Amino acid sequence: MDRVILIGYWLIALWVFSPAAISAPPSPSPDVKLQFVVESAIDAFYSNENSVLPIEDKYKKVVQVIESNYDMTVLIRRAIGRSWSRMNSTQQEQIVALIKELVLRTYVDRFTGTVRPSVNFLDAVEISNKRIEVPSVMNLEDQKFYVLYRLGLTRTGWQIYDIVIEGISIVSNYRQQFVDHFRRGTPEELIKKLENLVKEGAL
Amino acid sequence: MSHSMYKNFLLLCVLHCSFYSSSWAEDFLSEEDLYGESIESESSVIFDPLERYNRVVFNFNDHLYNLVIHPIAYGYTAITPEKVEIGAKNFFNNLRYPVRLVGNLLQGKFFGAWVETGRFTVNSTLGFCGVMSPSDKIDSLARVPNEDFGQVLGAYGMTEGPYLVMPIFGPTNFRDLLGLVGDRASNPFIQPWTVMDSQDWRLAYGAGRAVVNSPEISDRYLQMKGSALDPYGALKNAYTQYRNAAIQE
Repeated sequence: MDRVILIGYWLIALWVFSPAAISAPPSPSPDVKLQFVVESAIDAFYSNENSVLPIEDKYKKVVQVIESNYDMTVLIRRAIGRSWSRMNSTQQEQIVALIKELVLRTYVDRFTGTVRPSVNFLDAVEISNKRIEVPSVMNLEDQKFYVLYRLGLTRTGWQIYDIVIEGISIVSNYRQQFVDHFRRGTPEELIKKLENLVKEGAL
Repeated sequence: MSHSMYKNFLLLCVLHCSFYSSSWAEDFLSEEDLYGESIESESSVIFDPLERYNRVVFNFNDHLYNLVIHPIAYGYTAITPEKVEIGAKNFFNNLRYPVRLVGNLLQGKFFGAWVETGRFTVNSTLGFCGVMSPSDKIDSLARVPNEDFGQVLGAYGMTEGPYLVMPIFGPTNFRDLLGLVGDRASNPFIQPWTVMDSQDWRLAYGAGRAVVNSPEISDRYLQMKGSALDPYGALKNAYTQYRNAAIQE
């Protein structure tokens, strides 16, 4: 009898701790989620109900859409590269917040036209089981931009770790600037510079 | 339940948890993958021995763009209807066909050469001398990437050489500067081998092209500068990445 109960416990334990039972409910694939986020960010500017809002409110909506779906710290930390360890945690937080604002404001600056930009997403390319690349073409009135999103599977789910626009990786581009800055400059100077840039680019 | 059963059950739980936690640990990118030293190698080191000179020219160009190019671009877009703007852009783009053709042929990109020839023929005839671009509606003549002599040299394995900033023209490198000689030689509208005998026509061609392209240049420059910590470094990196991507394409 004991043996029967023991086998029963083993079976229950196997089921309880199996990955299928533990894993979260199925979420959309990373490329589908990305499409949804990009379209929602554009809608924050161009949907009927949002198009009448002041630009600052539209910007807040874009931030909300992106931050509720992706952790931009991953992308920013990669851009900072090895200079990350030269900063204390307060500086890291400040710099991440400032770069986030700078990048997002630059992103929404693109949405100045009257015609809603359209985005054609192409098939995602699986680099490994932890990395995918999603190519897309963004049509802005008479201009076309090839945008490649690089996503990686992290502890917090699929995150964007680089965006390549017309062959230019924004992570690599910012890293070049951080490396140049830290050759002579300090984290405090970097914060000052970023604050000025954000102020200059205020919407 | 007996004591041994509890022990068995606990042992099973511990084994199970440790097994799955170790397998999950391999299921996502580690800190090292995301932020480790390996990512440093992803960014190209740009050879810039003339940085001090380049920065001076960059600052000169920056003033020039602010004082001349942006006002021209602004004025041009303000007075020109959008359709005329697009038509003018198409016209000058069509005239650069010989450069793109030679660029494709020298890299053995015969399909590209074929498409460029087809587009030129259709746009020059049905598109009223290239002002319109009816070839965009033909699937088999869908746009192919632009090719030039700098890309040809890159495709043949020539390294980019030192990064350079030229007065007025902006960023380049030794390879692309050399490529410019080839581009000029294969362009029938500019010297040294030009079909336009009159200096006035050549000037009109050069000035027209500069004005027509000014809104795009101005827009991209301002976009880059607005989000850059160090506009010089940002442009250097962006130019190098852009050209490398064009060569690999």
